[in-house]
Amino acid sequence: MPVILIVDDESHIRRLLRQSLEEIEEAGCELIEAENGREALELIEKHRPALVLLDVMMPEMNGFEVCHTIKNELKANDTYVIMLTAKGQEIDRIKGMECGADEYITKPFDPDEIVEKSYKIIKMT
Amino acid sequence: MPIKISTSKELYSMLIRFVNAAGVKLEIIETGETTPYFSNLAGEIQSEEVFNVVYNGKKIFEIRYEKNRLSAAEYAGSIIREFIEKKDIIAETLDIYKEINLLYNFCEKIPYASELEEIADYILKEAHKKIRFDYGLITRRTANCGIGIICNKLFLPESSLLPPLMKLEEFIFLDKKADIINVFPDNGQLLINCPNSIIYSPLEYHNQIAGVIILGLNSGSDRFFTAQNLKLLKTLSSIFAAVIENVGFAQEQRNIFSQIIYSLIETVEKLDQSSNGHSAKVSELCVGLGKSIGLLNSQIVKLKLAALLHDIGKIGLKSDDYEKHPEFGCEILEHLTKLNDILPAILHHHENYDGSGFPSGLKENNIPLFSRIIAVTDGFDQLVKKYHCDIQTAFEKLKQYSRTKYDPEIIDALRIYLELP
Repeated sequence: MPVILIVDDESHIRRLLRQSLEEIEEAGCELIEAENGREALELIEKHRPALVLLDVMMPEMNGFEVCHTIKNELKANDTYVIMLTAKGQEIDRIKGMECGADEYITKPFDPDEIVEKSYKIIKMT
Repeated sequence: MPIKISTSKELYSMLIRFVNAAGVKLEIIETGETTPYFSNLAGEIQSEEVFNVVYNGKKIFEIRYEKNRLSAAEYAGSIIREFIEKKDIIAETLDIYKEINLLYNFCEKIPYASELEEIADYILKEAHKKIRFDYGLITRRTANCGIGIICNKLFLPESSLLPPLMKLEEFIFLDKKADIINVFPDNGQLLINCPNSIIYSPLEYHNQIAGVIILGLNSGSDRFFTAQNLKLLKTLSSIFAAVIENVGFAQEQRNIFSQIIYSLIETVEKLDQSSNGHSAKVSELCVGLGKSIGLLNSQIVKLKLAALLHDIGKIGLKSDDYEKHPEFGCEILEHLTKLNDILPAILHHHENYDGSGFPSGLKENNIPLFSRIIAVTDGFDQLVKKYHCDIQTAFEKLKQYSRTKYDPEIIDALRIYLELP
């Protein structure tokens, strides 16, 4: 069963993401959540999710550091990472930080876009 | 909103925690399901005690419980109700989230769009993400051109629907109100082949109706538009109407500006009938020369304006002050701030390459490039028009003043432009 990990320090955002992905969950995908980078890395090592939706702005360990660790230290290259960045942040500059993320989506995210992309990634369409 | 709960693990674990902590035995069955969603009643206990969980007036679950444990069943019921309520709130939030997102994207996009068709297209595409209509139509009404239809071909209505939709458009245009029509009147006064459901909104700005947006569902669709759909459509319509207005203003401004310019040119030419068409010819030559020496399009536009207006100062001339006309020209034109950067070109169009010209006696490359080009083309057209020289002769005469009056490079550029040997 493919696993999708949602990482955001704000619980209501996790809630919204989870709700957006409800139909994917019903189609047989497992959704798990982490509220900080450390927790996220533990869960990634344990579950090897197909997709991580990763918030950039988090206290302690930010999304870039988490992503960098996923791609370089955990060598989880089959884990697809979508970074959630705030609207107004320049995507180009963020990309320049070279954390190895696969994709970027701005917040407030478009729920349909998230669902569409997730389907593609876990190849359940 | 009906939600199927049976798949929720979250609620399931909440209920387990409750029954364990409270030490009760319950069996919980979702309405319409045969197998219990949750049960620790362990078959052998037959319970006749039933508590119904009601949400928004509908029975959604029934809970069987052991004798005398009604309050536990009630509490489990409240856990379920609150869970569903929370789900509903999140679903609603998500829905609004989608709308905000749409409006964000829309407002961000608008300043970059210069074509109405492009924006109309974008409106339909974005609105479709949220409203999921089957066909959409935007009309554009202008005072002189009547009604135009802007359609994205993805959302084109069937051709048989177009006549009734245009009838509806006429109605909306006069009625000036946005609305939903979910059930059409039987007498079919408004539409002959009644579509299933329609929302529409006029594109209104300052009491002017610039057009209409109509979105519809095909007949046979099991969906209907909602008040929320209509509200979103109205918002998009107002933004679009404002854009139409702005684009109109910008167009009008450009028109007024060019009308002013042409009136000024006409004034100059009326002064001296023999110079008829001189400004136009000089500007035509300047554009050709400008292209052949590789000026940018934006520069060519300015050069063209400067050439058209170079003799405007002649309006103020008396018989003995011919040399003042470049300055007079600048004084006249400086009131049009949009022309400020072509004033030097006009001021110096009678400077000579060797420094013997007027008004400042500038030399060679100190003379603005546009002035040097205008000087050459001005001289050339005078030879052709006033002295009736043919092109070859006019050019030869002009060439005699290369380096004294005229910039040799521009003279050479003119030769190339005129395709002379």
